Amino acid sequence: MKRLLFVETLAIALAFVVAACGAPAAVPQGGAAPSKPNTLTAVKVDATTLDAAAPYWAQAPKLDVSTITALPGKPGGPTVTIQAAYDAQYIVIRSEWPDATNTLIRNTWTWDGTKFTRDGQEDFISFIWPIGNNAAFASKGCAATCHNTSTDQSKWWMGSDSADVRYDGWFWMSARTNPVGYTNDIGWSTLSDPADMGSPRVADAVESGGFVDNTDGATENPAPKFMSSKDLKSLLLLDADKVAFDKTKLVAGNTVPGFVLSKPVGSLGDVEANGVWANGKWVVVQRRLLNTSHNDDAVLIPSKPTPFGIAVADAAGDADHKISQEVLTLEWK
Amino acid sequence: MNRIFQWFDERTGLSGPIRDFLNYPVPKYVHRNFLYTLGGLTLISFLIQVVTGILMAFYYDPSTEGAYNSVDYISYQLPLGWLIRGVHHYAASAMVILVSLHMLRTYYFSAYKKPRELNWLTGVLLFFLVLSFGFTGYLLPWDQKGYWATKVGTEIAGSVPLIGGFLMRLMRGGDMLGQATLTRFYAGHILLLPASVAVLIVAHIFQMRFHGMAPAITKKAQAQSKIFVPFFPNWAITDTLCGLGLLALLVYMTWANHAPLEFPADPTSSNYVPRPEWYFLFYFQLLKYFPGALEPVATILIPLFIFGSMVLLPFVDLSEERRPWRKPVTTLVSIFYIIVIVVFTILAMAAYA
Repeated sequence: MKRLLFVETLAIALAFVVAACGAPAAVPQGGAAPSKPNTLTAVKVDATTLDAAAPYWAQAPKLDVSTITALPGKPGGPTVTIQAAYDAQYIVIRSEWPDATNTLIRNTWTWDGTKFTRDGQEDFISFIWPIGNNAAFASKGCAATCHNTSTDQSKWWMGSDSADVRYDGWFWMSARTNPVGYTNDIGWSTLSDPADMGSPRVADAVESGGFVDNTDGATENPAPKFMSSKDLKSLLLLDADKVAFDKTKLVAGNTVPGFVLSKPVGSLGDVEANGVWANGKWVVVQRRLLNTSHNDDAVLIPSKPTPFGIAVADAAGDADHKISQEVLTLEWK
Repeated sequence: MNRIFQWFDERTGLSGPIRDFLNYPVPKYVHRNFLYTLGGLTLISFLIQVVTGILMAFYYDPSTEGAYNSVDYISYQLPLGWLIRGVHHYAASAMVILVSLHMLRTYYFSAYKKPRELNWLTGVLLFFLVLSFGFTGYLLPWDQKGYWATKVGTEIAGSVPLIGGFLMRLMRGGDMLGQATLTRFYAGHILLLPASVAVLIVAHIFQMRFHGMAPAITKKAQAQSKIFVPFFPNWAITDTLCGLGLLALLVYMTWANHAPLEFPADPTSSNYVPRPEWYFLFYFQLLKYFPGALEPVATILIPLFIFGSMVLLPFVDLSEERRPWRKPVTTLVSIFYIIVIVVFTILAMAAYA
């Protein structure tokens, strides 16, 4: 009888322990789907790199994020597949999504023989991370930052309702940041200037570098300020290659890049990036210190689940982007 | 060293009571029996909760603005904070398991019978106080899980006929969950409940010592029931070793799976699915079977019936028989309850998975 009671108590205890621990989660293998919905599980590796084909990606669970339009009347966006890994210092995130074209233009100048026009929107993917604990974002995701209830679209803005609530943004751009291997590290706060709907978006601190508008600043008939010393047909203008603009070297139909590019020094350049477009898709790898020690960046703590959201655009302006509808959660394995 | 003890004893007179406590005669069949360590292990888990709770209280901020950030700090930044909070988290579950097993052992061994009715009653009260610990502690991190589980839990209290509204406002400190609720739950969790449990534990142990161990039910144990050994070091060592094993298990569970902390509470959230701690899951499952007008059956009648049955048990079961295999009614009733609880818990886990 005593043995029977002993076995019974053990069985009951075991049942409760199993219940306490919860059902064991499926172990993701070979880039398999994540065990929890909307959850990106970062795997621990010895050393992270910007290599999109690094062997550890085979072990990192894939999260497929479907995107919806941020503008009414527009179609939904692509499904973005993301994976994450981390080491003692860095987190690295690999994103992959279909895009028919590799867009390298942004406000590119076109010379028609008599005057310049500017045109062009680039591809981008952005990540948004709340700085500190943020109940509204953790519950509602990007919707918590979206202020688009006005019928007047020009009054829409993105940011927080309070200056105390801030977001960190990783803004990778195909034309302005990817060619020099970084992601624009920006942030969002509240609407500081009610007349400027862009005022909540602020770039992180920078000592030098970053993309600079390639314009002479003229209010009438503006023209580029610089051109490439190496390749006049290039859609990109690196800071190291720039020379003073010389209109005489152009013929009708020629283009001049809209921005002068260089890698920033400072918090703006915290996120390294390596984006490659091939076979109708972008594969972008971004890497950042888990803790940059910059107060304009979110601190990522391995073991602490962190909410985030993403947005992508295909040769489109900032407002015309596709966003993750649900709250995404970064977890650590 | 001896002179120090002597000096201390001359001024306190404690050596006598301590010696009596340590030399308390324990039947030999008890001191190496796992089933008789359950009460001691429950006490040890309570002490673990007290120690880890005090350590966390140094950093916890009992305000709706600061609670989450302080628990976040304890969990992710404070050195070894994850361990302290994890042990506290898992020890809460351990306490529920151990007190349940301890009660089952008492039940199957008929240790609630005359003259130990009061000891059984203090045990019943302790059982419900342990569950109250879980309910009040759940809210303190002020995360989504705690907030919504408390909202549902207090709504259940609010559905009690006649006094429901009063009960709900009493628990919440108003109509809505907010700072008053957190303050009340915090005060209850760290002051009222520990003090009540401590008093009842003392009464429980005093009663146990006063009446001695309940008569043995097996022939082998009965044969040893006249042989006694002192509590110290015999039973004390068994309890200590089991307690260390429990602590090791709690540390391992924490290391393997840190205590969860969900995202901060968002009262405007519309898509969060509330779910209780695992030991309340069976009750949430039960509530599903009594919708609408039938709800009071699950919120009032069944809990009252169970509580009443437990309280009245020693006054109803007056037979001399103590062997469970000769008491088919009480044994089968308990097995039925166990099966219901386990099945309902599994069903609820599947529903929340």
